[in-house]
This record gives sequence, structure tokens and C-alpha cells, in this order.
Amino acid sequence: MSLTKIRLQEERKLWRKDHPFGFFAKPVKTADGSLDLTTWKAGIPGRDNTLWAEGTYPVTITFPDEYPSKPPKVKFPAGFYHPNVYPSGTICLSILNEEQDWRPAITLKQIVLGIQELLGNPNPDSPAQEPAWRAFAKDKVTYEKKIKEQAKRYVNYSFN
Amino acid sequence: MDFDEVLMMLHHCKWQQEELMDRFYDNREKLLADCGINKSNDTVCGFNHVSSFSCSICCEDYSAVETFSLSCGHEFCINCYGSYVRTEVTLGNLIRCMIPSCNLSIPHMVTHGEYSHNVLLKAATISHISGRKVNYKWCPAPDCDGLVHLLKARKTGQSRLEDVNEFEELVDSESADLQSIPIVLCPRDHEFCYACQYENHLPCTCLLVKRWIKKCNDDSETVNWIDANTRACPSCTASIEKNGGCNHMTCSTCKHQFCWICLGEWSLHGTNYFRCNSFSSDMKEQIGEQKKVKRESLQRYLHYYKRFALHESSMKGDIKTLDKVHQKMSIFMEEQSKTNPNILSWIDVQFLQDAFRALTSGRKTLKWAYCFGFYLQKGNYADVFEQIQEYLSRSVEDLSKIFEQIIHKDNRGKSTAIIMNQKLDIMNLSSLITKRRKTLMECASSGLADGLLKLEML
Repeated sequence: MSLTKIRLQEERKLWRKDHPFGFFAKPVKTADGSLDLTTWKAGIPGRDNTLWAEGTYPVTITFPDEYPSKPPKVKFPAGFYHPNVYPSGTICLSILNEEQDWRPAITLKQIVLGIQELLGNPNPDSPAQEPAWRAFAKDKVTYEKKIKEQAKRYVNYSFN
Repeated sequence: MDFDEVLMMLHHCKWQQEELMDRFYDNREKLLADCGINKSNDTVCGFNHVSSFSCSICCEDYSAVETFSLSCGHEFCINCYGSYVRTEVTLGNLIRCMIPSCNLSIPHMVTHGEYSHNVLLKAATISHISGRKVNYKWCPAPDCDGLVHLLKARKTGQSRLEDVNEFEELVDSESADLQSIPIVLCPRDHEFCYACQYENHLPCTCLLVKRWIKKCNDDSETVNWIDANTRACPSCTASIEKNGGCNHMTCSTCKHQFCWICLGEWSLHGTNYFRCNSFSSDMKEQIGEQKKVKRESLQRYLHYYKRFALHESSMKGDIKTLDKVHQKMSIFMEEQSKTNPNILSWIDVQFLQDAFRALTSGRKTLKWAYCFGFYLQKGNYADVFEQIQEYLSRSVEDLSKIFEQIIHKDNRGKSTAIIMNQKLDIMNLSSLITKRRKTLMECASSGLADGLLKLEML
């Protein structure tokens, strides 16, 4: 079995043993019913007492063949409203960037916690989409309204 | 501080020595921490052979494996560290420990045992260069990996070329100041223009080169030819070349019948055959005149282009010949040094190298002089320029002939003798070429500067 697979199985074991409250993450099923360890679906709950609190936001995590030398790619659904999420849904976060802070020892738990942190604390210095970034920088009222609307859409969200 | 630590600090400070000194004396502890250098911990950084090890990166349990750890003690198997380093090294940054909270850097030495193959340093150099494209240019010659670094102090003095914008302006502007063309020499003796990254194109300006290349490449001349030699069918506008004597034309495409001379419908000519001659003879002359001008311009272009292309191909031929001469000479020198070491030394045949260089650069100048000539307006000074070009051309051909003789098959076995006999000629000719090249350049540059030579932008 390849190094990537072994590590991913270990990640899965670790996640089962211990994961932060409100989160879920599991590999997707392939057409023949077996598990595809290189693609995961995960849900990230908004932190309590923030605009995001109500929702649980779905992400798709794709692990490249070079994992863990290279970071996985994490995507929200396309069109997700957040200053650091590209229109395609790809998340712009330093620990997920090979050229920035990715290290092979970063675990799945650290990744999803990092994304939860990013939800409530966008980084205005690396804009990835225009509408959310502009609203965040110039029009807080609209921004908060949009975030709350989005949170409502993702209440009780789950993958089936 | 050992060598590796200094290298890491320099790397961290992006190779700015001054910045490093400042930060070092300002807050030494902080600089060391930022660079990921650990001075306090006693744990030794390095490779270990361990038994029963579980690597937290690949999650494999090994019964015996080689591991690596920095002085932080974060230990991982060599496979994981290896693939991590191989991915990271292409980025050209310092490589940190695999634990996200740990800031220690891997010393350069570890990425490869020998400094001569310091992959990290190489990657760092490349990323450094690509971040400063203005100051560095790769040599455009084929297979050459020479790099030119632009320093502030410039040979040509007047030109301030540190700024990118000014470079681009230089390429675009019609400035005819040949002095300001930044011709540089790469470490392997290839001359090229720093502004447009083309070979040494003196006496032409960058703009002239751009236009010339474009003219030679696109089919504007084909269009000119079609215009000069064919007529469009008055009905369907297909291009028709007349291949017989009769002026009664039938278009092969649309079967339209017309008169070649006046382009009028043939049926109108009917019984009054060739009545078209009496009608508006001025018009006809005008058209004829236009065609003549176009033909002339095509001829003129072809004249210069042929010579330009000929010198280009001769240059390739010369290079082949020179390679052969060089080979022969090397073999000869080797044999001789075994048998008779005192007669001839490498210094005695150094003149050959100079001659090679003179010949190739002479050809290059000749070639571009034709491009220059094409855009040059006729006049007395243009004649002078052409005369000088002629002189240069003569000495280049003479030298080329000598080299040709050396490798000619009739002279097999005598080549080295010819070289030594003709040594004086070769030396004279190469210095003559160098001088005449210089004269040509000076003529072009001073002529343009004083307004004696004028360029016509066609």
C-alpha cells in the first residue's frame, strides 16, 4: 500500500478516536461501494457566539498522490460567501498552501480547526473573491447579513 | 557561527549582506530564531539508524529504519523527510521541520552532502533570479546557460538602464542612438543585446531589428509580389498571373471575360478591337508607375534580404569549419606535446581563438549592416557606409577562405603547416576585421547622431 494510503488510514483512525465536537469527516464511497480514502467529505460547524454559529458548512477534502509531502485541497461548495474562498470554493489558507505553511505533520483535525478559525476571522490581506471581500472591508452591515443568510442555508446540513 | 549557519542566515535575509549584518547586531537571538537555527539545544541534528520506530508522518511501524531529526528532536523516517525535502526544495525557501509549530530549518549541507551539489542553494539562486528579472538575463544563445547580471555602473555611461520601463522604451522608441544599445557579453563569450535579448545586432537599433524580423517573417512581401505581378479579376477579384501573350482573359474561377490592359469587359471591345488604348492613357501610365515602384521596392528588399540571409547561413558554415580547425589543432597540439614539448605551446596558437571570434562577429556585423542598409536613405554618407561595409566584407571573406583551405580535403595532413605558415595573415586579417567593424559602427553611430545618415521607416 502506498505511503499516502497508510497515512490516510491512520488519519481516519485518529479522527474516529478523537475529533472536535460538532465536526464530521469521512471518506466518500466509490461506485462499487468501497471507500475512496483520497476524497473526504467533512462538515465544519460555525463557532458559538459568532455570525457563523447556526450552520455546519460542508467541505470536500482531496488528498494528492504526494500527500503528506503536499497539502490536501479543501473546497467549500462553489459560490461560498467568504473573503478567503475563491469563486470555485477553494479555500485560501496558509497551512493549506505548499508554498507557505504546509508541513507534513499537520493532521486532519488541525486542518478543520484551522478552517473553522478562518470562518470567523477572515484574512483581509489575501482576498479570494470580490463580493465578500469588498463587503467585509467596506460594508459590514451587508457582510453580516449575507453571512447570517448563508448560515441559515447550512443549518442541519449533512451529506447523504 | 559555522559556514552552514551563515549560509542559512544569508538565505533567510534573501542574500542581502547588509540586512543580515544589521539584523545580526540588532537582535542576534531573534535573527537566529527566525532563521530556524538552534544554538541552545544539545540534541544533535542528523541521521540515525534506529530499531522499532513509528513514523508519525507515514504512520508506518518500522523494525529498523534510518531516521532524521533536527536539533528539536522531531524524528521522522528518511523516506518521509526525503519526499518532503524534494517537494520543498523546488520552492527555493529554507526548509523547516515537518512539525507545524517547530521553526527549525534544515541546514543546506543536509540536503546534499557536498557543497558542489547544493540543490537547495541552486533552487534558492534560481528563485532569487526569477524574482529579479530586471537585473538578470539568461543568455539567449542556444544551449548556453550563461547568466548576465546588470550592474549599476554601466560601460556606456550616458544610458540609465536600471529601470525596466526605460528598457521597454528603448526597444519601442525610434531613438537612433547606437551608443545606448546595451550589448553585453555572457560568460561563454556570446554577445547579445540586453534590451531586446537578440544577438548583437549593431549597427541596427532594437526597433529596426524588430521591424526587420517582422518583415522577414510575415508575408507582407508575398503580398507585394502578388501586387506587382498579378491582376485581380474585375468580377471575382481572384489573383491572375498572365502566362500568355493574348490580352483576352478568361478568369479560371468565374469565367468572366475581360481585357488585361484596361480590365474592362471583353464584350465591349467587340469589333473596335483594342479601343481601350485611346481611353485615358494617363490612367494607364499611373498604374504602370505604381507597379514599377512596387516592383522596385520588392527588388530592393530582396537584394538586402538575400545578403542578410547569406551571411546568416555563412555564419553557420563558418562555425562548422572553425570547429573542425579547432579539432585538428587540438589533436596536433596533443601529439606534439608528447613528442616535442618545447616547439609549440598553447600560447603560440592563441591567435586562432582570436581569429575565430573576429570572423564570427565580423559576419554578424555584416549581416545586420544589410538590415541597416535596407532602412537607410540614399545619400552620399550612405554610400560611404556601404563602402566601409564592402571593406569589412572583403576581409571577412579572405579570412573565411583561409580557414576553408585549412580543412580542405586536398590539404589533408598539411593543415597545421598551413596554419603556421599563414599565421601572420590570419592575425592581420583578424585585427583588420576588428578595426573595420569598429569603423563601421562608428560610421553608423556618428552618422545617425549628426543627422548625416537617415533611416527610413518603411
